[in-house]
Amino acid sequence: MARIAIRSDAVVLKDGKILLEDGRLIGNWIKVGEDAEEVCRETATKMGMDIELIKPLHPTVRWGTNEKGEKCTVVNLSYLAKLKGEEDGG
Amino acid sequence: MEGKFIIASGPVIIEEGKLLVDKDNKDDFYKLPGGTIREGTEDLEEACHRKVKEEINGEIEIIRPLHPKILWENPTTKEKMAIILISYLAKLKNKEEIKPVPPTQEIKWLDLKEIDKWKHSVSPYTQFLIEKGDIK
Repeated sequence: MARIAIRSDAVVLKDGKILLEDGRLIGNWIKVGEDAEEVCRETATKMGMDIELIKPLHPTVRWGTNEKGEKCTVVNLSYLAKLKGEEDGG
Repeated sequence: MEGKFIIASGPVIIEEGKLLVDKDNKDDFYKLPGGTIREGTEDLEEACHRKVKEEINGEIEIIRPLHPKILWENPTTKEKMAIILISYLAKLKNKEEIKPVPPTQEIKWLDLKEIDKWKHSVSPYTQFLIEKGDIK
């Protein structure tokens, strides 16, 4: 059975810096039935942030194998975002 | 997650206030050019270039990505699967040379001034891009 992982991330820029949580962008892996933009917003909310997505950024797809040797496709969707009430993300 | 999936990529081409769409022999609505990426060998932009060439003999320059969309079932067969739709705003470099390449049967330029007239006769993803403001 084919395997795919889809991740959705928000790129929040402020004062020339990028916002990371534990070294990662603000986002999560998408589960079946979920919406990419909603995943970003919900993840931010759980971290105590209120974000507004501004525009989509370049998506990527990577082809590889996981630790079990199974073929796995990873798709990354990302959005430029800003913290609500602040200036545009840059 | 496990299961069937499709990743599709294509361009949104707007010139002189008109949107380029095409129609093949499978669907009864107009859709954006583009289609399924070649698994393991192609990236999203390469697939976008290849599909527009295959469908309408078009050559494009990609400008920027537009809103992606994930469908969780095939809209035609209702089969449960992940369909990831990716599109790019693009500029057509060879307008005079485009033509329908089978199975593409028709190319049409839809006037954006009349968007309310035709927005329900285009693919659901095209409608999504209209709602997002990517096609206007």
